[in-house]
Amino acid sequence: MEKKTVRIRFTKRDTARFVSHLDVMRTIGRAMLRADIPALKTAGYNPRPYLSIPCALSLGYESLCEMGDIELPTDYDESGIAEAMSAVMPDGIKITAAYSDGGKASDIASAGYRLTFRSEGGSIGDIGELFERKPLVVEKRSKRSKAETDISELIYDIKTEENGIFVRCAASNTVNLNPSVLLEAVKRYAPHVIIKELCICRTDFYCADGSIFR
Amino acid sequence: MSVLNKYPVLNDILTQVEKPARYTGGEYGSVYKDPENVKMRIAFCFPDTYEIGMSHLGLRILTGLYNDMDGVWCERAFAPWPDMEQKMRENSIPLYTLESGDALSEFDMIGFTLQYELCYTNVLNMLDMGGVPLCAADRGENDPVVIGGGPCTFNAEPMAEFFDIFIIGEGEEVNKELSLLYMECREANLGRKEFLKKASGIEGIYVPSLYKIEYNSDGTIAEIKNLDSAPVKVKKRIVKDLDTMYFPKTFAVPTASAIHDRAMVEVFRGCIRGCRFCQAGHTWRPVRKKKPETIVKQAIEQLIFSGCEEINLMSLSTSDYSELETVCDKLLEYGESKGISISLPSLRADSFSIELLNRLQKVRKSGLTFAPEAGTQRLRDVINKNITEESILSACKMAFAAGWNGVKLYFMLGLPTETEEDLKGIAEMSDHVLYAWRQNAKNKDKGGKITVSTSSFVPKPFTPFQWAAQDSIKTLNDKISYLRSNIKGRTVTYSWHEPRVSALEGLFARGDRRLGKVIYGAWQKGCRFDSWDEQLKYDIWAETVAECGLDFEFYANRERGENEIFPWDMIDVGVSREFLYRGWKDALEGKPQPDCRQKCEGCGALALNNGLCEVD
Repeated sequence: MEKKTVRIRFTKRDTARFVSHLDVMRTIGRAMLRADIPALKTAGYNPRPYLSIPCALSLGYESLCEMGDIELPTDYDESGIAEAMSAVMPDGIKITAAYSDGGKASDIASAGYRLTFRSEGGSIGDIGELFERKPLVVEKRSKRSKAETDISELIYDIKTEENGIFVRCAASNTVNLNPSVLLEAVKRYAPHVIIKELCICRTDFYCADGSIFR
Repeated sequence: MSVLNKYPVLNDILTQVEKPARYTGGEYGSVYKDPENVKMRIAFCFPDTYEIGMSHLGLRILTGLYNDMDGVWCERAFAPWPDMEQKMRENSIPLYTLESGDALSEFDMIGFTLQYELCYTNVLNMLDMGGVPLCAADRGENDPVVIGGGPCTFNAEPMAEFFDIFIIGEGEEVNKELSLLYMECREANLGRKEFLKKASGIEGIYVPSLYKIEYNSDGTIAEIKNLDSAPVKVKKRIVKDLDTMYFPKTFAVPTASAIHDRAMVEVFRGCIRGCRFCQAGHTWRPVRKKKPETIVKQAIEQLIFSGCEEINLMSLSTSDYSELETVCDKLLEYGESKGISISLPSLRADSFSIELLNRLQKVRKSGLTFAPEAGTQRLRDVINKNITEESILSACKMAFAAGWNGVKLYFMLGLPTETEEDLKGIAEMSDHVLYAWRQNAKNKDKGGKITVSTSSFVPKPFTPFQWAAQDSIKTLNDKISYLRSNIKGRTVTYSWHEPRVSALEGLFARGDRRLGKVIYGAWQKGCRFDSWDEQLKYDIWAETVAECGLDFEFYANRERGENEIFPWDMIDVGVSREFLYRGWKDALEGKPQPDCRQKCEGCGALALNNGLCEVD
């Protein structure tokens, strides 16, 4: 069968931020069955729809810009997918678009995140300024080792907003910064500040030239 | 508005607990109504984790049934795991339902399903966290009515003081009647007591506060007195026509994986087999069937709605459904191209089952499980498990030849009259199955996996073994050690159920009301999730039983006399005591009983269904 790759874009908000990456994969598979979308499946004992989600989102993060690539017969018209699948999704997951001319995931260079929170012991502005320090050194822990790293090079943009801070940071195949690391910086440089009800939301992916990736 | 808006601190808490999706709700198929526009609000509570509760068909049926009623909103709540409980208590978050986020105390009615005895401390914990007084006697006009249903209610006496009402038997009709009565009573401004009294007049409703128990000096029961107009015996409810019975077309589909995450349809209720240890096989009588076309229709509706990849055809013994092949063929026709598989639990080890499975599981091959239950023919006759070693072995041979590379074998330890010979029989059978694998497996390089599992027998009410003594923990541990050293072969794995868990189960299974204070005491000392090996605090239980002046052995390890009054004697499940006693005597003589299809032995249950029992 002639097939094509279709990229679906979706949001993951509110309670859906606690749905794990694997469960998102399963949920999309089920929504396609519910909406009767003829996604192609893997062969073998346990057939699953072909579905790849680049840039897995950490558990607990919201997102406005998630994407997943599925395989469909070439003659299938994807224009109705967003509406049909959104109607059969759990709360917080909405399909915003489906298109077959998406860019190569390897072109993603950075991602934007909005950090909303309440702070005690320091204003949002203070924290925004803190993030702009150069160097900004945090302790990065892996299973085996601890290392002091300067993350300022991985932060491309910082904007202080009313309820939080927007940051754009590295998210490519080779360099990646998880925004939760920024909280380590707060602990280090401003240990008296307490951050409460934090919600991190990924807002967009960007190419190397700063244009929005789609 | 989600629970995150209602309790903003959850944003922080949920990043610190395991499996946070358990606590958020928002699943596809969740039902939301406007609380201002409903007359009655019900919280369906499952006293175990979300993953287990969401695997439960009864929850789907009853929440669906209530939400289909005008003016009724039924929501769900589950037991928070200890990490979450701690955070909720620290932050003064009450136990809330996943839909509205409201505390249990704000509901009109709270319904618990009691699936196994070891969830009892979770019931108390959920009530406490939900802000509901634990004892029925302490609840006032503004507190919820707390009801319990499910298999444990055939003897929920240990929980009697914590419940206002128990529902005995199948819930599809009686739940509806009860909620209608509740709304009627409230409209008429009748108080709680009046409502309970009226409720006790509905068939299948047991109001424990309307019965008084008196004890002999030896600890046995002297008399069960019914008060007011409560019936002497509460007759179990059954649904007579399963084809017209309510069955949900929609349900909340778990977003985070449940244990059994699949669509489910029952094919029949009751069982023709009469295994003497099996409570469900006796309490679900008489046998009633769904028509094949009903099953197929309901299965497809569930699959279309849920998007599940698997449909489970449920019953106590699915291979006994005479039109099983017709149903499977129709479902295969629907599902094969969509990658949907059919699973059949509780298959008998015979060639019919293997042929059928082989045909069904072109899509996905599931594990194979057989339950010989006992190691020798003598003991299988005692327990009336009418299956021979030859048929188990020939089923295994067929399965291995058809490409299965493993099988699970289930046995019980501590069955009445068990001797070392019977234990040896378990080890020998596992040898024979291993040999069959070597002789017949298609692809031995992959390695086989034969699992032998033993659980410990717990005598249950309303079975021929309700008179029997349960083995002590020490005896069970000795038997486990014997098997550990006698089951051989790298391909064979032996696993066993923790005897201390079974001991507690045995304490409550045939317990009486005096055990209520034991449950309360153990809960206060921190017991939760007792069915989870890693959570069980057995020493606290043993200590609490002693502190309450009670004796573990009296309840679990004592054989009962023929005419002893049982704590559950106010319940009538339809099967007569004479029939059960005859089974007990026959068991001790090693005499099996024909199955209900071969010959009706007159258990009495068909009286519940106008003399009808659909064994064919």
